[in-house]
Amino acid sequence: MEIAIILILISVGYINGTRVEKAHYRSIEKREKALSKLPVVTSKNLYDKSRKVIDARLVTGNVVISIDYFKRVLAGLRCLVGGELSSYETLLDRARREAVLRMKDKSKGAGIIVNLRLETSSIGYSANRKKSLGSVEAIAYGTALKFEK
Amino acid sequence: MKYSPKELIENVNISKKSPIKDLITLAGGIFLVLLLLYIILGFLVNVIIKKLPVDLEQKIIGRISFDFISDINKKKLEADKENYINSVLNSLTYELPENKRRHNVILISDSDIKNALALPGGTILLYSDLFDEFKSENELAFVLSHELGHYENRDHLKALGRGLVFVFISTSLFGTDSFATEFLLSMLSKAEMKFSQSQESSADLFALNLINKKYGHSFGATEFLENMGKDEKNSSLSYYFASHPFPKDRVINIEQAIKNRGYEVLIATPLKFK
Repeated sequence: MEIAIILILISVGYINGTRVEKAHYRSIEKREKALSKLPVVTSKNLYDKSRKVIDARLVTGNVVISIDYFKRVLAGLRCLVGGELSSYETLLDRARREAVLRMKDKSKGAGIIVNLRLETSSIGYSANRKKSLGSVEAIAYGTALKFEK
Repeated sequence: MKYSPKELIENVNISKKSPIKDLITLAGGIFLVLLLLYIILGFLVNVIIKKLPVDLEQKIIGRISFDFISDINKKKLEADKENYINSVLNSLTYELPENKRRHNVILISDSDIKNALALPGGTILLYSDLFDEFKSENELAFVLSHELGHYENRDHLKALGRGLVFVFISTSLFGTDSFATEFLLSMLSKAEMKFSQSQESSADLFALNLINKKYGHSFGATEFLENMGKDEKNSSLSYYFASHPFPKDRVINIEQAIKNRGYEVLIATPLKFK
């Protein structure tokens, strides 16, 4: 009986998880295209010094994404034998890109975002347990500079 | 320096592996490794058990608590009957050389169940409805000797050993608090010790030998099984057969042994409390 429940959870996790992931990636790619005109750099100084900066403010974007049961099971098995944990790669990739996009969203009118920093952490009730993380939070923050026209 | 945005065509940060293929490969691989481990440990267990001394066996068994015993319903009215059965048991164990195990019989009644069970540790459970089926003391002796045969052949340890292997694997992988380990532990303690056909045959032959030693002849062995076999269609008796193999085969096995060993089949010793 317990095995049946686990198999159902895994199937539901896989089907729904894949659907949600694909939809999220489509949204990310669409917004990245739209916001591609706004450059983001990790350096503090990589902008045109000849232009006058009239505004500089901290901008942040953060997102929390959870994994599905299928990914959790796959990660659990992988943790036994070692190797690339591919099931979490998409999770973190999506989280980071989404955080950057949300940060860019808040910086309308800015000419460039400098000193970008990205941080991730695991949250949720499983954060303290030995088992693998249940959800990940990514935060992107930087300084948005507005130039004089 | 002019900034010209570049569209990302490929995502290098994620691997192209199919997750389902990954899951099947991993799960299948781990399952095969566990299977191999189980088989190897099964062999090891059999080797170790043969060499295990009796007092160590008693120590190990004593550590494992059996919930089964606490569920038993005892009828105090039948204390005399139980004492009689124990006296028969003692006369049988007296015939066994160097038996360091302490045996006793508990007579219990539980709605129509006609069975006898050998619990690890040396306690034999005899259901009173089965006792009522006996037509002679010899038949009672045969059933008790059969259970004693299981102890002699260490059949409990073998069954436990296999279960313990599972518990060991599950504990080391998932921890002692996981549902997998608890499930296996509960299975271990509630196991009715279903022994294999060959273990049952060996126990039968041991019983035959023992009653022949005590009574000087082997009356009671086949009589009991034939009697049980007659009422096959009775559903309560089928419970007996669930934990023991088909009686006709056992009868044939025993009759062959009687012939080979040159035993006699003489008169019955009457059963008390009939």
